Amino acid sequence: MNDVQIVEMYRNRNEQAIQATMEQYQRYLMKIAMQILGDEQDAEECVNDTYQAAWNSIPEKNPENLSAYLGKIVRQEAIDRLRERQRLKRQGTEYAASLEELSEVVAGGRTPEQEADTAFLKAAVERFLKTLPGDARVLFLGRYFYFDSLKETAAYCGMSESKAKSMLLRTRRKLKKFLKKEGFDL
Amino acid sequence: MKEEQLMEAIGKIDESMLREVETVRNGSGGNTERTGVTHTGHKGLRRKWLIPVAACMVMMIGGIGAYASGLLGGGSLKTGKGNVGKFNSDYEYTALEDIRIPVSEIKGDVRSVTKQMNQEAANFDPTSSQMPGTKQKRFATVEEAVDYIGYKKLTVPDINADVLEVTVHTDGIEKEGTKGSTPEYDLAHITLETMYRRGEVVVQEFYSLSTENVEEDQTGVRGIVMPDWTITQDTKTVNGRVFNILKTEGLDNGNIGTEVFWQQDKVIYTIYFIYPPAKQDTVDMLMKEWMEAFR
Repeated sequence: MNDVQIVEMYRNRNEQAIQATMEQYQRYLMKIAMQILGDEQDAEECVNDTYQAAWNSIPEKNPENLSAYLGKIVRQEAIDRLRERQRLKRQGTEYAASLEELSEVVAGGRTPEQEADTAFLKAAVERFLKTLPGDARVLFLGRYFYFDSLKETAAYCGMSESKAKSMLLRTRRKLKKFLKKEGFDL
Repeated sequence: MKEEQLMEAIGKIDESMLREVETVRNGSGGNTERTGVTHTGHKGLRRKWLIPVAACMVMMIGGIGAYASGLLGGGSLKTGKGNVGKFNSDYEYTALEDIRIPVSEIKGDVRSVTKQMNQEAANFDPTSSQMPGTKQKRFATVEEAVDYIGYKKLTVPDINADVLEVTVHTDGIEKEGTKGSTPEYDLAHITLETMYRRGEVVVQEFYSLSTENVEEDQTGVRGIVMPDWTITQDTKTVNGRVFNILKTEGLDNGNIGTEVFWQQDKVIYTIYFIYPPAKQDTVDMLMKEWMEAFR
Protein backbone atom coordinates (compact mmCIF):
# COMPACT_ATOMS: atom_id res chain seq x y z
CA MET A 1 0.00 0.00 0.00
CA ASN A 2 1.40 3.39 -0.90
CA ASP A 3 1.22 6.69 0.89
CA VAL A 4 -1.53 8.08 -1.29
CA GLN A 5 -3.74 5.12 -0.46
CA ILE A 6 -3.00 5.41 3.23
CA VAL A 7 -3.78 9.12 3.29
CA GLU A 8 -7.00 8.42 1.43
CA MET A 9 -7.96 5.95 4.14
CA TYR A 10 -7.39 8.62 6.77
CA ARG A 11 -9.50 11.03 4.81
CA ASN A 12 -12.28 8.46 4.57
CA ARG A 13 -12.02 7.89 8.32
CA ASN A 14 -11.14 4.29 7.73
CA GLU A 15 -9.52 3.00 10.90
CA GLN A 16 -7.43 0.59 8.89
CA ALA A 17 -5.36 3.66 8.07
CA ILE A 18 -3.62 3.40 11.42
CA GLN A 19 -2.83 -0.27 10.93
CA ALA A 20 -1.47 0.49 7.47
CA THR A 21 0.62 3.30 8.89
CA MET A 22 1.99 1.03 11.57
CA GLU A 23 2.94 -1.60 9.04
CA GLN A 24 4.69 0.94 6.87
CA TYR A 25 6.24 3.31 9.38
CA GLN A 26 6.43 1.75 12.84
CA ARG A 27 10.15 1.08 12.63
CA TYR A 28 10.94 4.46 11.12
CA LEU A 29 8.96 6.31 13.79
CA MET A 30 10.31 4.20 16.61
CA LYS A 31 13.83 5.01 15.56
CA ILE A 32 13.23 8.76 15.66
CA ALA A 33 11.46 8.51 19.01
CA MET A 34 14.20 6.32 20.43
CA GLN A 35 16.92 8.73 19.33
CA ILE A 36 15.21 11.45 21.31
CA LEU A 37 13.89 9.57 24.29
CA GLY A 38 16.27 6.67 24.66
CA ASP A 39 13.57 4.59 26.26
CA GLU A 40 11.62 1.96 24.39
CA GLN A 41 8.43 2.19 26.34
CA ASP A 42 8.34 5.96 26.11
CA ALA A 43 9.13 5.74 22.43
CA GLU A 44 6.28 3.31 21.84
CA GLU A 45 3.85 5.57 23.63
CA CYS A 46 5.14 8.47 21.63
CA VAL A 47 4.65 6.59 18.37
CA ASN A 48 1.13 5.65 19.40
CA ASP A 49 0.45 9.31 20.08
CA THR A 50 1.78 10.02 16.62
CA TYR A 51 -0.78 7.69 15.06
CA GLN A 52 -3.48 9.42 17.03
CA ALA A 53 -2.22 12.82 15.97
CA ALA A 54 -2.18 11.72 12.36
CA TRP A 55 -5.71 10.44 12.70
CA ASN A 56 -6.84 13.75 14.18
CA SER A 57 -5.02 15.97 11.75
CA ILE A 58 -5.19 14.36 8.36
CA PRO A 59 -8.77 15.16 7.49
CA GLU A 60 -7.68 18.76 7.70
CA LYS A 61 -4.16 18.32 6.39
CA ASN A 62 -3.35 16.49 3.23
CA PRO A 63 0.32 15.52 3.48
CA GLU A 64 2.07 14.96 0.18
CA ASN A 65 4.93 13.23 1.91
CA LEU A 66 3.46 11.01 4.59
CA SER A 67 6.73 9.77 6.04
CA ALA A 68 8.06 13.29 6.53
CA TYR A 69 4.72 14.38 7.94
CA LEU A 70 4.74 11.56 10.46
CA GLY A 71 8.41 12.16 11.17
CA LYS A 72 7.70 15.74 12.13
CA ILE A 73 4.87 14.71 14.40
CA VAL A 74 6.82 12.02 16.21
CA ARG A 75 9.80 14.30 16.58
CA GLN A 76 7.72 16.99 18.26
CA GLU A 77 5.83 14.46 20.39
CA ALA A 78 9.09 12.99 21.59
CA ILE A 79 10.66 16.36 22.32
CA ASP A 80 7.58 17.44 24.25
CA ARG A 81 7.68 14.21 26.20
CA LEU A 82 11.34 14.67 26.94
CA ARG A 83 10.79 18.19 28.15
CA GLU A 84 8.09 16.95 30.43
CA ARG A 85 10.54 14.66 32.07
CA GLN A 86 12.76 17.65 32.74
CA ARG A 87 15.92 15.72 32.66
CA LEU A 88 17.06 16.59 29.19
CA LYS A 89 20.72 17.03 29.81
CA ARG A 90 21.05 13.88 31.83
CA GLN A 91 19.61 11.60 29.22
CA GLY A 92 22.69 11.10 27.16
CA THR A 93 20.50 10.71 24.10
CA GLU A 94 21.34 11.87 20.63
CA TYR A 95 18.83 14.68 21.09
CA ALA A 96 20.70 15.94 24.12
CA ALA A 97 24.00 15.67 22.30
CA SER A 98 22.58 17.45 19.26
CA LEU A 99 21.21 20.20 21.45
CA GLU A 100 24.57 20.61 23.08
CA GLU A 101 26.21 21.07 19.72
CA LEU A 102 23.64 23.61 18.62
CA SER A 103 24.18 25.62 21.77
CA GLU A 104 27.29 27.07 20.20
CA VAL A 105 25.13 28.65 17.50
CA VAL A 106 22.92 30.53 19.92
CA ALA A 107 23.57 31.89 23.35
CA GLY A 108 21.53 30.71 26.28
CA GLY A 109 18.92 32.87 27.91
CA ARG A 110 15.70 34.03 26.43
CA THR A 111 14.12 37.39 26.98
CA PRO A 112 10.84 38.46 25.44
CA GLU A 113 12.75 40.93 23.30
CA GLN A 114 15.12 38.28 22.11
CA GLU A 115 12.52 35.69 21.46
CA ALA A 116 12.12 35.46 17.76
CA ASP A 117 8.99 34.11 16.29
CA THR A 118 9.53 30.43 15.55
CA ALA A 119 7.81 30.81 12.23
CA PHE A 120 10.36 33.41 11.09
CA LEU A 121 13.17 31.29 12.41
CA LYS A 122 11.83 28.23 10.64
CA ALA A 123 11.64 30.19 7.38
CA ALA A 124 15.20 31.42 7.85
CA VAL A 125 16.44 27.90 8.54
CA GLU A 126 14.74 26.74 5.35
CA ARG A 127 16.38 29.49 3.35
CA PHE A 128 19.71 28.58 4.86
CA LEU A 129 19.31 24.90 4.11
CA LYS A 130 18.60 25.71 0.48
CA THR A 131 21.99 27.37 0.22
CA LEU A 132 23.78 24.21 1.28
CA PRO A 133 25.02 21.55 -1.08
CA GLY A 134 23.12 18.28 -0.86
CA ASP A 135 25.62 16.39 1.29
CA ALA A 136 25.85 19.13 3.91
CA ARG A 137 22.07 19.49 4.01
CA VAL A 138 21.48 15.77 4.44
CA LEU A 139 24.12 15.63 7.13
CA PHE A 140 22.62 18.57 8.98
CA LEU A 141 19.08 17.28 8.87
CA GLY A 142 20.12 13.74 9.66
CA ARG A 143 21.79 15.01 12.78
CA TYR A 144 19.42 17.76 13.88
CA PHE A 145 16.07 16.68 12.55
CA TYR A 146 16.30 12.92 12.96
CA PHE A 147 18.92 12.97 15.74
CA ASP A 148 20.89 10.19 14.17
CA SER A 149 24.23 9.63 15.81
CA LEU A 150 27.29 11.16 14.22
CA LYS A 151 28.55 7.72 13.35
CA GLU A 152 25.33 6.70 11.69
CA THR A 153 24.94 9.99 9.86
CA ALA A 154 28.45 9.74 8.52
CA ALA A 155 27.78 6.17 7.44
CA TYR A 156 24.73 6.87 5.33
CA CYS A 157 26.31 9.98 3.91
CA GLY A 158 29.24 7.89 2.79
CA MET A 159 31.94 9.80 4.61
CA SER A 160 34.22 9.32 7.55
CA GLU A 161 33.06 10.32 10.99
CA SER A 162 35.74 12.97 11.24
CA LYS A 163 34.73 14.49 7.94
CA ALA A 164 31.08 14.50 8.98
CA LYS A 165 32.02 16.18 12.24
CA SER A 166 34.04 18.78 10.44
CA MET A 167 31.30 19.43 7.90
CA LEU A 168 28.73 19.81 10.65
CA LEU A 169 30.97 22.26 12.44
CA ARG A 170 31.31 24.37 9.32
CA THR A 171 27.58 24.20 8.71
CA ARG A 172 26.78 25.34 12.23
CA ARG A 173 29.18 28.24 11.86
CA LYS A 174 27.57 29.17 8.59
CA LEU A 175 24.14 28.94 10.15
CA LYS A 176 25.20 31.24 12.94
CA LYS A 177 26.53 33.76 10.46
CA PHE A 178 23.42 33.44 8.35
CA LEU A 179 21.02 33.94 11.26
CA LYS A 180 22.96 36.96 12.46
CA LYS A 181 22.77 38.44 9.01
CA GLU A 182 19.05 37.78 8.95
CA GLY A 183 18.71 39.85 12.09
CA PHE A 184 18.19 37.19 14.70
CA ASP A 185 19.45 38.00 18.13
CA LEU A 186 21.62 35.06 19.04
CA MET B 1 17.44 32.68 21.67
CA LYS B 2 17.81 29.26 23.20
CA GLU B 3 18.99 26.20 21.40
CA GLU B 4 15.61 24.57 22.00
CA GLN B 5 14.02 27.28 19.89
CA LEU B 6 16.37 26.56 17.03
CA MET B 7 15.74 22.87 17.42
CA GLU B 8 12.02 23.52 17.36
CA ALA B 9 12.36 25.57 14.19
CA ILE B 10 14.34 22.79 12.53
CA GLY B 11 11.54 20.42 13.46
CA LYS B 12 9.04 22.53 11.60
CA ILE B 13 10.79 22.82 8.28
CA ASP B 14 8.89 22.02 5.18
CA GLU B 15 8.36 18.34 4.50
CA SER B 16 9.60 18.68 0.97
CA MET B 17 13.04 19.45 2.38
CA LEU B 18 13.07 16.15 4.17
CA ARG B 19 12.66 14.05 1.08
CA GLU B 20 16.27 13.90 0.07
CA VAL B 21 17.48 13.22 3.57
CA GLU B 22 14.89 10.49 4.01
CA THR B 23 16.02 8.85 0.85
CA VAL B 24 19.65 8.87 1.81
CA ARG B 25 19.03 8.09 5.42
CA ASN B 26 16.75 5.15 4.89
CA GLY B 27 18.19 3.91 1.67
CA SER B 28 14.56 3.72 0.72
CA GLY B 29 12.74 6.02 -1.60
CA GLY B 30 9.43 4.44 -0.78
CA ASN B 31 6.90 6.79 -2.13
CA THR B 32 9.13 9.80 -1.99
CA GLU B 33 11.14 11.42 -4.67
CA ARG B 34 14.83 11.25 -4.24
CA THR B 35 17.91 13.28 -4.55
CA GLY B 36 21.06 11.51 -3.56
CA VAL B 37 24.48 12.26 -4.75
CA THR B 38 27.76 10.61 -5.08
CA HIS B 39 30.36 11.53 -2.63
CA THR B 40 34.08 11.56 -2.61
CA GLY B 41 36.12 10.15 0.17
CA HIS B 42 39.26 11.81 1.40
CA LYS B 43 41.40 9.99 -1.06
CA GLY B 44 39.22 10.59 -4.02
CA LEU B 45 37.31 7.36 -3.78
CA ARG B 46 33.88 7.28 -5.27
CA ARG B 47 31.34 6.67 -2.60
CA LYS B 48 27.64 6.62 -3.06
CA TRP B 49 25.27 8.00 -0.56
CA LEU B 50 22.66 5.60 -1.61
CA ILE B 51 24.72 2.56 -1.53
CA PRO B 52 23.28 1.48 1.71
CA VAL B 53 23.63 -2.18 1.78
CA ALA B 54 23.58 -4.41 4.42
CA ALA B 55 23.99 -6.79 7.20
CA CYS B 56 26.90 -7.45 9.31
CA MET B 57 25.47 -10.91 9.89
CA VAL B 58 25.60 -12.12 6.36
CA MET B 59 28.92 -10.87 5.27
CA MET B 60 30.98 -12.85 2.91
CA ILE B 61 34.56 -12.34 2.09
CA GLY B 62 35.52 -13.11 -1.41
CA GLY B 63 34.60 -11.88 -4.78
CA ILE B 64 32.56 -12.85 -7.68
CA GLY B 65 34.49 -12.16 -10.77
CA ALA B 66 32.47 -11.03 -13.70
CA TYR B 67 33.91 -11.22 -17.10
CA ALA B 68 33.26 -13.14 -20.20
CA SER B 69 35.77 -14.48 -22.60
CA GLY B 70 36.08 -12.36 -25.68
CA LEU B 71 34.51 -9.32 -24.08
CA LEU B 72 36.32 -6.47 -22.45
CA GLY B 73 34.72 -5.17 -19.34
CA GLY B 74 33.23 -6.46 -16.16
CA GLY B 75 34.61 -6.38 -12.69
CA SER B 76 34.72 -8.01 -9.33
CA LEU B 77 32.31 -7.52 -6.47
CA LYS B 78 33.48 -8.21 -2.97
CA THR B 79 31.61 -7.88 0.29
CA GLY B 80 32.89 -8.15 3.78
CA LYS B 81 32.56 -6.55 7.14
CA GLY B 82 34.70 -3.48 7.13
CA ASN B 83 37.79 -2.71 5.16
CA VAL B 84 37.17 -4.74 2.08
CA GLY B 85 39.55 -2.53 0.28
CA LYS B 86 41.96 -0.03 1.69
CA PHE B 87 39.17 2.13 2.97
CA ASN B 88 36.42 1.60 5.42
CA SER B 89 34.01 -0.04 3.06
CA ASP B 90 31.87 -3.12 3.30
CA TYR B 91 31.62 -3.85 -0.36
CA GLU B 92 33.50 -2.83 -3.41
CA TYR B 93 33.24 -3.27 -7.12
CA THR B 94 36.49 -2.97 -8.96
CA ALA B 95 37.37 -3.44 -12.58
CA LEU B 96 39.47 -6.33 -13.77
CA GLU B 97 41.69 -3.96 -15.69
CA ASP B 98 43.19 -0.53 -15.28
CA ILE B 99 40.33 1.83 -16.04
CA ARG B 100 42.06 5.15 -15.56
CA ILE B 101 41.23 7.41 -18.46
CA PRO B 102 43.73 9.84 -19.97
CA VAL B 103 42.44 13.36 -19.42
CA SER B 104 43.02 14.02 -23.11
CA GLU B 105 40.12 11.64 -23.86
CA ILE B 106 37.77 13.76 -21.82
CA LYS B 107 36.83 16.55 -24.17
CA GLY B 108 33.89 18.25 -22.50
CA ASP B 109 33.55 21.43 -20.50
CA VAL B 110 34.00 19.42 -17.33
CA ARG B 111 37.71 19.92 -17.80
CA SER B 112 37.39 23.57 -16.88
CA VAL B 113 36.07 22.65 -13.45
CA THR B 114 39.59 22.48 -12.06
CA LYS B 115 39.96 26.22 -12.67
CA GLN B 116 36.94 26.83 -10.48
CA MET B 117 38.38 24.52 -7.86
CA ASN B 118 41.64 26.44 -7.89
CA GLN B 119 39.78 29.70 -7.51
CA GLU B 120 37.77 28.33 -4.60
CA ALA B 121 40.89 27.03 -2.95
CA ALA B 122 42.48 30.47 -3.25
CA ASN B 123 39.45 32.08 -1.62
CA PHE B 124 38.88 29.36 0.91
CA ASP B 125 37.55 30.47 4.27
CA PRO B 126 37.28 27.54 6.68
CA THR B 127 34.43 29.12 8.59
CA SER B 128 32.16 29.74 5.67
CA SER B 129 33.37 28.11 2.47
CA GLN B 130 32.64 24.73 1.04
CA MET B 131 35.63 22.48 0.93
CA PRO B 132 37.25 23.02 -2.45
CA GLY B 133 37.99 20.13 -4.71
CA THR B 134 34.48 18.97 -5.50
CA LYS B 135 31.88 20.40 -7.84
CA GLN B 136 28.37 19.46 -8.83
CA LYS B 137 26.42 20.58 -11.84
CA ARG B 138 22.79 19.86 -12.63
CA PHE B 139 21.43 19.21 -16.10
CA ALA B 140 18.01 19.01 -17.66
CA THR B 141 18.79 15.90 -19.66
CA VAL B 142 21.22 13.02 -19.60
CA GLU B 143 22.41 13.97 -23.08
CA GLU B 144 23.51 17.43 -21.91
CA ALA B 145 25.42 15.84 -19.07
CA VAL B 146 27.10 13.39 -21.40
CA ASP B 147 28.15 16.28 -23.67
CA TYR B 148 29.48 18.13 -20.67
CA ILE B 149 31.74 15.18 -19.86
CA GLY B 150 32.71 14.54 -23.46
CA TYR B 151 34.01 10.97 -23.14
CA LYS B 152 33.01 9.37 -26.40
CA LYS B 153 32.91 5.81 -25.08
CA LEU B 154 30.32 6.64 -22.46
CA THR B 155 27.24 4.52 -23.04
CA VAL B 156 23.86 5.77 -21.95
CA PRO B 157 21.54 2.86 -21.20
CA ASP B 158 18.00 3.94 -21.88
CA ILE B 159 15.26 2.77 -19.59
CA ASN B 160 11.70 3.86 -19.80
CA ALA B 161 11.23 5.87 -16.66
CA ASP B 162 10.65 9.49 -15.69
CA VAL B 163 13.90 11.36 -15.18
CA LEU B 164 13.92 13.33 -11.96
CA GLU B 165 17.44 14.68 -11.76
CA VAL B 166 20.68 14.59 -13.67
CA THR B 167 23.87 15.66 -11.91
CA VAL B 168 27.54 15.49 -12.73
CA HIS B 169 29.83 15.29 -9.71
CA THR B 170 33.46 16.11 -10.22
CA ASP B 171 36.35 15.62 -7.85
CA GLY B 172 39.75 17.12 -8.12
CA ILE B 173 43.00 15.85 -6.77
CA GLU B 174 45.61 18.20 -5.43
CA LYS B 175 48.57 18.54 -7.72
CA GLU B 176 51.88 17.36 -6.42
CA GLY B 177 53.84 20.25 -5.03
CA THR B 178 50.78 22.31 -4.15
CA LYS B 179 49.80 20.37 -1.05
CA GLY B 180 50.21 22.31 2.14
CA SER B 181 49.93 25.65 0.38
CA THR B 182 47.07 26.88 -1.75
CA PRO B 183 46.30 23.75 -3.69
CA GLU B 184 45.74 23.47 -7.38
CA TYR B 185 43.70 20.65 -8.77
CA ASP B 186 43.79 18.07 -11.49
CA LEU B 187 40.71 16.22 -12.63
CA ALA B 188 40.33 13.02 -10.61
CA HIS B 189 36.86 11.48 -10.78
CA ILE B 190 33.69 12.25 -12.67
CA THR B 191 30.34 10.70 -11.88
CA LEU B 192 27.17 11.19 -13.83
CA GLU B 193 24.22 10.49 -11.58
CA THR B 194 20.70 10.14 -12.88
CA MET B 195 17.54 9.58 -10.93
CA TYR B 196 14.42 8.08 -12.34
CA ARG B 197 11.13 6.90 -11.12
CA ARG B 198 8.84 4.21 -12.41
CA GLY B 199 5.77 4.23 -10.20
CA GLU B 200 6.87 3.07 -6.80
CA VAL B 201 10.30 2.06 -8.04
CA VAL B 202 13.01 4.63 -7.58
CA VAL B 203 16.08 4.23 -9.73
CA GLN B 204 19.52 5.78 -9.55
CA GLU B 205 22.24 5.34 -12.09
CA PHE B 206 25.87 6.24 -11.64
CA TYR B 207 28.43 6.33 -14.41
CA SER B 208 31.82 6.65 -12.76
CA LEU B 209 35.00 7.67 -14.52
CA SER B 210 38.45 8.01 -13.02
CA THR B 211 41.33 9.77 -14.67
CA GLU B 212 44.97 9.00 -15.03
CA ASN B 213 45.63 11.46 -12.21
CA VAL B 214 44.58 8.98 -9.53
CA GLU B 215 46.23 5.81 -8.33
CA GLU B 216 44.77 2.62 -9.73
CA ASP B 217 43.52 1.51 -6.33
CA GLN B 218 41.45 4.66 -6.15
CA THR B 219 39.22 3.49 -8.94
CA GLY B 220 36.13 1.45 -8.27
CA VAL B 221 32.94 1.83 -6.30
CA ARG B 222 32.74 1.19 -2.61
CA GLY B 223 30.02 1.36 -0.04
CA ILE B 224 29.26 0.78 3.55
CA VAL B 225 26.70 -1.40 5.22
CA MET B 226 24.18 -0.68 7.89
CA PRO B 227 23.21 -2.99 10.72
CA ASP B 228 20.09 -5.12 10.40
CA TRP B 229 20.22 -5.28 6.66
CA THR B 230 20.87 -8.43 4.72
CA ILE B 231 22.74 -8.66 1.46
CA THR B 232 23.02 -11.32 -1.15
CA GLN B 233 25.28 -11.41 -4.18
CA ASP B 234 24.44 -12.74 -7.57
CA THR B 235 25.50 -12.49 -11.18
CA LYS B 236 23.48 -12.37 -14.34
CA THR B 237 24.75 -12.90 -17.86
CA VAL B 238 23.21 -10.89 -20.67
CA ASN B 239 24.63 -10.83 -24.18
CA GLY B 240 27.72 -12.55 -22.86
CA ARG B 241 28.31 -9.88 -20.26
CA VAL B 242 28.38 -10.86 -16.62
CA PHE B 243 26.75 -8.28 -14.40
CA ASN B 244 27.27 -8.29 -10.65
CA ILE B 245 24.20 -7.86 -8.51
CA LEU B 246 23.92 -6.91 -4.86
CA LYS B 247 20.53 -7.19 -3.22
CA THR B 248 19.76 -5.58 0.11
CA GLU B 249 16.79 -6.55 2.22
CA GLY B 250 15.55 -5.19 5.50
CA LEU B 251 15.61 -1.51 4.57
CA ASP B 252 13.25 0.77 6.42
CA ASN B 253 9.65 0.49 5.27
CA GLY B 254 10.37 -3.04 4.14
CA ASN B 255 11.80 -1.89 0.84
CA ILE B 256 14.43 -3.76 -1.11
CA GLY B 257 17.53 -2.27 -2.69
CA THR B 258 19.09 -3.95 -5.67
CA GLU B 259 22.24 -2.68 -7.31
CA VAL B 260 23.77 -3.88 -10.55
CA PHE B 261 27.39 -3.24 -11.52
CA TRP B 262 29.07 -3.29 -14.88
CA GLN B 263 32.33 -1.92 -16.25
CA GLN B 264 32.86 -1.20 -19.89
CA ASP B 265 35.29 1.05 -21.74
CA LYS B 266 36.79 2.21 -18.45
CA VAL B 267 33.46 3.41 -17.08
CA ILE B 268 31.84 1.77 -14.07
CA TYR B 269 28.09 1.69 -14.50
CA THR B 270 25.83 1.03 -11.58
CA ILE B 271 22.09 1.10 -11.33
CA TYR B 272 20.33 1.03 -8.01
CA PHE B 273 16.66 0.23 -7.51
CA ILE B 274 14.72 0.85 -4.33
CA TYR B 275 11.28 -0.69 -4.27
CA PRO B 276 8.63 -2.48 -2.27
CA PRO B 277 8.86 -6.28 -2.59
CA ALA B 278 5.66 -6.35 -4.63
CA LYS B 279 7.48 -4.49 -7.39
CA GLN B 280 10.18 -7.10 -7.90
CA ASP B 281 8.79 -7.97 -11.35
CA THR B 282 9.00 -4.34 -12.45
CA VAL B 283 12.57 -4.14 -11.22
CA ASP B 284 13.51 -7.37 -12.97
CA MET B 285 12.16 -5.95 -16.20
CA LEU B 286 13.96 -2.60 -15.79
CA MET B 287 17.15 -4.39 -14.87
CA LYS B 288 16.94 -6.55 -17.95
CA GLU B 289 16.35 -3.49 -20.16
CA TRP B 290 19.34 -1.82 -18.62
CA MET B 291 21.67 -4.77 -19.02
CA GLU B 292 20.59 -5.31 -22.62
CA ALA B 293 21.41 -1.70 -23.43
CA PHE B 294 25.14 -2.39 -23.34
CA ARG B 295 26.51 -3.32 -26.72
